Amino acid sequence: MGRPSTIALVILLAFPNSVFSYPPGHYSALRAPDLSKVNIEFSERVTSGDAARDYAEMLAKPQIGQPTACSFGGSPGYQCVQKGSAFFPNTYFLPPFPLVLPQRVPPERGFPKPKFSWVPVHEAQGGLQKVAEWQDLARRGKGFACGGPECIVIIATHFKRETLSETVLESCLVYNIVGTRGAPWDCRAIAILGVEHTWVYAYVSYEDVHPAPPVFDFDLRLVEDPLPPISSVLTAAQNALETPPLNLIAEKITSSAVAGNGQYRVSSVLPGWHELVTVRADIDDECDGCLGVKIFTTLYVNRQNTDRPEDWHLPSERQGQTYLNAVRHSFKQPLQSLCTNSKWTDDRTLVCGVPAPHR
Amino acid sequence: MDTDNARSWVINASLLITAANFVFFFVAPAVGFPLTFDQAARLLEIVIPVFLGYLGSATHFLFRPYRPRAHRAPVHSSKLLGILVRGPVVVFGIATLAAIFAFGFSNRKSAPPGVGMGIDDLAGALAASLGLLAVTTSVAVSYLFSRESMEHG
Repeated sequence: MGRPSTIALVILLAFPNSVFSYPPGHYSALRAPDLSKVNIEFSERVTSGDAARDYAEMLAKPQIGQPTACSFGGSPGYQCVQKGSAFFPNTYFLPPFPLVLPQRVPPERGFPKPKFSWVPVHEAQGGLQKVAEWQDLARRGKGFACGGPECIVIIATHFKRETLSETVLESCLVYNIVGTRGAPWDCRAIAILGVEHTWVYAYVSYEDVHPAPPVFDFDLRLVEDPLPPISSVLTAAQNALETPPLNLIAEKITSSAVAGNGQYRVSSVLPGWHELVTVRADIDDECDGCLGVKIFTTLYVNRQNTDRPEDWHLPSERQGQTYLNAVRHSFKQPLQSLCTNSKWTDDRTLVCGVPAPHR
Repeated sequence: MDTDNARSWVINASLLITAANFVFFFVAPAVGFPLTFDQAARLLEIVIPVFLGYLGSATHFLFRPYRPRAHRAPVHSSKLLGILVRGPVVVFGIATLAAIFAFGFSNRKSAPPGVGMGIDDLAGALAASLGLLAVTTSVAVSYLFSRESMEHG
């Protein structure tokens, strides 16, 4: 081995991360002191190319009529126009577009379904200032815009692929429960900081439609006559979260929901793995003669005992399913304790007051 | 240590370290050591090529058509040669074991949250250990298994 090749080998061995760590198209969250330390693998991998296409599609929609004055979140000073077909027009804002976090859209009359689109930063209201503010929040990793235990965190992710190098800012919801911060969920890309252009995800339009029901992981149903009070079902759900194998730190977050966090700990469900998890249970009486328990789970895992952002990632499909099964089983016993002579008629329905079998 | 002994020692050490690495990095993820198979494979890719390179040089040396003369030059023997051939490999072994122990210990179940050694840190430690080999043993190997060495030793 000659001298130049020896030197090259030394350099290669001394800096292996630059060669081995990042496969093409890898996302990694920026290190942040108090941030939720995760890879945002589940979020949409949006690039400035996608943003440009989205913007062009919005501009291409045919305009109907003339611009009129309109408001956003009770603030006047915006211009709106009708776009789309003559039979089903939608109201679109004109630049500067309102800029608001998708999880914190101010309530409007009726049931407006917000429509966001990527727009150049200079076409959004206070765009440059907001992006700078979001970058600062991502660096500090602090929760903000809290509503009860639910806060927003901004996470910056770098996207590297060949010649493309962009930073995407995402806003996520996170629960703070009894001093623990849970797993970020409902993450949405809100800004793309490209080499040439910066794009922001702005509120551009709305439709008057009923909101879509939330997506949950699974639900359980409690059939009983008369129905037990929601508070006792909530207590049973909290008990399910706090007892093994979940062992979460849980509390009631609304009058009909309870949530639990497990923060950077050894998983008792997935042996050998560390977990960052939030499980939320919402109780509703939407079904006739029964109570529904809808379960939402957000889970991140790490094989090592580290708190570096890039080490935390989503579970594999099998791990996720194993965890959901554990959550499902955890809820069954506490719910069953609410009634006598109960019977699970299928995997999700508990019928109470079933006559005891004859001996 | 003379050059023949040095050659034998390098070959034996390379075979042993290669075997130990294969066994450890294949078995560790399966028996609960805090590594995934992907990570173990990545570490193996960092360590193994160096020792495979030594074994390749030795094999090439042994089977090249050029044969040593019947009348051999006096065996080149030196205390320094022994230190320089054995020392770095021993240091590499100690450093590797220390890094693997630190990784396993800091990532054990009962460790306080967040204090574990990361996979990149372990890769860095292994790479640094290999760096020592690159500037010592690799240079020695290039002479031990060269044509000139064959002529004189």
